[in-house]
Amino acid sequence: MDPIEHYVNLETRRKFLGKLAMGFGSAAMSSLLPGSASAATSLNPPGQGLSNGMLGATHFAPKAKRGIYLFMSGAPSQLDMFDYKPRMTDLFDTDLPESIRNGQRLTTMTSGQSRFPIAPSIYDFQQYGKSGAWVSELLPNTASIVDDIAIIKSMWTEAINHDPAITYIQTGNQIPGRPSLGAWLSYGLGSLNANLPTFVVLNSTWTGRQEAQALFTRLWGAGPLPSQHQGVALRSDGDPVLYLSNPHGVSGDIRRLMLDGVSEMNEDIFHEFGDPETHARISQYEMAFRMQSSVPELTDLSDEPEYIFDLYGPDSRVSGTFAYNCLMARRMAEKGVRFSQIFHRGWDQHGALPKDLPNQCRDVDRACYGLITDLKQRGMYDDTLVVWGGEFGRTVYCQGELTQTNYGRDHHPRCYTMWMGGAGVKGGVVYGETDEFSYNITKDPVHIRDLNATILNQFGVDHQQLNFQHQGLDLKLTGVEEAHIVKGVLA
Amino acid sequence: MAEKKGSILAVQLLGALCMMVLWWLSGSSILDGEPQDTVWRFFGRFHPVVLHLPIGMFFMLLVLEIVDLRRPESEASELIPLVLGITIGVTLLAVATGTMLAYGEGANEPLVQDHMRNGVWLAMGMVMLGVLRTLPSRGTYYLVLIATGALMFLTSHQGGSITHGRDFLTEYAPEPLRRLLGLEVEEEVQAIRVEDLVVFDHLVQPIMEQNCVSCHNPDKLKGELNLETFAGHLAGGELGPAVVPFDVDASELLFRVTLPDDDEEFMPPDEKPPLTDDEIGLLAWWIEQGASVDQTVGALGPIPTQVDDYVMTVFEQMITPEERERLVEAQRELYATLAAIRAEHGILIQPIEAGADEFTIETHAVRKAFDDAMLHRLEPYARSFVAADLSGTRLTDDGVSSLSKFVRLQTLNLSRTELVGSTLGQLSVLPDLGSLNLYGATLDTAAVDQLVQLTQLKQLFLSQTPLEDAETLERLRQALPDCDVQATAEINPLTEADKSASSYESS
Repeated sequence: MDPIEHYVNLETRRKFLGKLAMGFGSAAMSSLLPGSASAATSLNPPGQGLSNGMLGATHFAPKAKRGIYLFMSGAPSQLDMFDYKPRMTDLFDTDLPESIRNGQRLTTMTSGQSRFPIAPSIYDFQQYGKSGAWVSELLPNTASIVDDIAIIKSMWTEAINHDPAITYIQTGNQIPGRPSLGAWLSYGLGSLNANLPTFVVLNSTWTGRQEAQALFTRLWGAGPLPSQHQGVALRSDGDPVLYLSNPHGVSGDIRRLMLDGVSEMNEDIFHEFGDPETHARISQYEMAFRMQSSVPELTDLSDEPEYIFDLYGPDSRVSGTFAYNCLMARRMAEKGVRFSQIFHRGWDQHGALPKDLPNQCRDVDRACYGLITDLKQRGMYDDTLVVWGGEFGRTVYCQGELTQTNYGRDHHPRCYTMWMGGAGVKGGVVYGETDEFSYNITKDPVHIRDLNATILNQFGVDHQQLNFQHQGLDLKLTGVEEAHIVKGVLA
Repeated sequence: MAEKKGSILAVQLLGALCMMVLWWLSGSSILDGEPQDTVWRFFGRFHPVVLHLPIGMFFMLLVLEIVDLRRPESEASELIPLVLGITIGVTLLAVATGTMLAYGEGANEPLVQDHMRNGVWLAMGMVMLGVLRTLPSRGTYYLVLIATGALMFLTSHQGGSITHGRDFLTEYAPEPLRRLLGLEVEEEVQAIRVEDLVVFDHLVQPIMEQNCVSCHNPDKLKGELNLETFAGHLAGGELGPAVVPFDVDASELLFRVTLPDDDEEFMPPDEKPPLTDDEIGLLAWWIEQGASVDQTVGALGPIPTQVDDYVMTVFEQMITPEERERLVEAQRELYATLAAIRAEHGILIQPIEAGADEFTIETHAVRKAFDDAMLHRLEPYARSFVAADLSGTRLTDDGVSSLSKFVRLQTLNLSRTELVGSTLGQLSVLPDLGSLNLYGATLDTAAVDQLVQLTQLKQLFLSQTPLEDAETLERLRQALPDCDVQATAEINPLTEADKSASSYESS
């Protein structure tokens, strides 16, 4: 159904009151809708049945049709992976100058420490590719694709603890309850393939320290947007979606009959109460029905040839690993899933970083390489956006005891590294600079809001114009503060 | 009898006087084209009220004359002098009000001038009729009567044309009649399209006229620069060419308008408003694309969003409300048609951006059902599509002939199809096709003979096809020097050591 018509037909309380107060009909109502304004006289009529999303069409021609977001939950250490700070070696175990920390707030985990000794990275860095980007020895495969990605070393956020920070980058607000990036994309752009969910979430196993930050479904939630836009989390064991298969003895026809009946009853309920969530429920039943055939095919990797597993590395044969999920994400992108997000946990190296970080890096390094190479050879890298990163960075000073071979790092929101590639992102770019302690940004800061605005931009969406009225606010992914497109990483 | 003679003489004298006034009027150039807010304008507007009287009276005069010829000395004959007198009077009145109207409204276009001159001659003819009717011989009178009638026909038609437009009468004439009259037979009107704007004439030159030409014209020639013509841009002035095709940095024009506005050299000088960013963007784009004099928006290369918005704004100002309505209507029909196809077949059809008349096709949801026949059904709308993702569909080599009708296609994804590739050469007729994706297609090695014909390609994806051997790739790269031919082995190759790393085994 055309979403605009759909919206018009919703018997919401506001519409009811509007009719009562002003006596205007659906024609007047429709002119208030986003995208349909002055459709009669404009040379830019909205999608008119040519769109699934609430935007009639993208605001401008998109570079990205699909996106794959590799989320490193727990905050990877930029100092040991991308942000090369050779001078720190000489400053081993000296105190971080107060002029650098500058009274910045700390987490309660290190605010009680009597001193903040500098912990240089113990890993070797080298320059790679034509761009000469520095990458540590922990990421040998990522190093080979630096010319395909843009590394942003000047990411920053205000949040200093995991949950507010991950909520912030995922939804644009530290307070839970806002729609996530994927939900916004689903809401605004709609589906590329009606048989598959538009926004899929894949949770991965990890090999670093197993006590890791929890993830919550609200991180891929729809907030006040209609519920069908929330991310569908696929499981890696057994049925990818629980209770998706028909129970024993129930045939597809019987299931269809049942759904038709339920749908009819739901329509009656809708006419009685006019709650749009009733329609969300109906459409989810329908989606589940379509997914009964489309999802098993999607998640069955048996048709992938050997060379593909070679590309993503041996882990890709083990279900639930990050590499397996990357391969899955590529399959989904190819079949028309608009946006998928892979979560990889365990990056919170407060202590014993040299023990855990190499494992974490090994989990993702080869798979990132495999994913991008696979997208490239399929000709999909031109219109698939790939984003890699976590919720904040880690401190240059040591948390806990510092030795020559062991150290830990606390949370650090003032600068950290992410990378993105494909879909109009310029390869071989290293954007932004930090000071020699990787503590403060010295050039081209990129707030997580800027990153989100840039992601929307690549999908052809003006972040200012994708909004949703809720409780008197025009909700936007980028919130009310200014956000800038990071033009320096775009081709 | 003497009394009658006297009145005849009076008529003749009065007639002579009128003739002299009218003669003067016919020779004067009283119409200066300036509207007058005087009482003349007020009286002038009664011209349309008055002018029908002479026509009606003259018709009556003709009828009476015919009756008089058949039955002389009847009652009709006695009415003739009265009717003729009134006819002359109202004709003079019509000429007077008409002159006031044209003078007062400031009308002096050629059609008005002609109409006025004919009106004056018509009045002279009427006056002459009045005099001639007093003479004993009627021969000349009848001749002048016929001539005056013809002149009245012409003059009234001209008057009508001024009010209603030239083709008012014939506008809805049936087609055979139009052909008979040698009139233009209406052809299907093609909507004006923004792509057909000539960049120099419609976009560049208006900016020049608005901002530059008041000084840089053939008369003033400030800095010896004439920006009134295209040649003047290239010839330039004291400091060399104003515009250097393909080279924005060498183009003095762009340099001068982009200086800080307090710079001595900044153009336009003094307090004149500077060029807007949009205008500068347009000029830069035009120069980058070669500063052609006759190329259209559609023919030039990719338009940056900013320039596109500007072009659209100019375009919208250029077209009339009717044309605008027609364009909107045409677009609405196109959208409705494509939406119907989409709903019927489950193919994803989307405009590339809001309001665009270029569309993309994606077939993910129906790829297993999408075959040559389905593609064939899209042919009538083939011109609308610029990108098609038909990956994994059941398209065969026969379907490629349908694809060759998608003349605006820029991106084509045929990956994972079961194409043998024996007909791919047909795609050489698609001038804009830049990217062709054949990843994993079941091509035959002979497909290379077809692919070498696609010289327009910029990107060709051949990974996981039988065409990946060095010899074939070399041949393709020779034949397609502008094309980036991509093959599996060359994309981020791995070392042997890389291939074995597993974090699960090591941990």
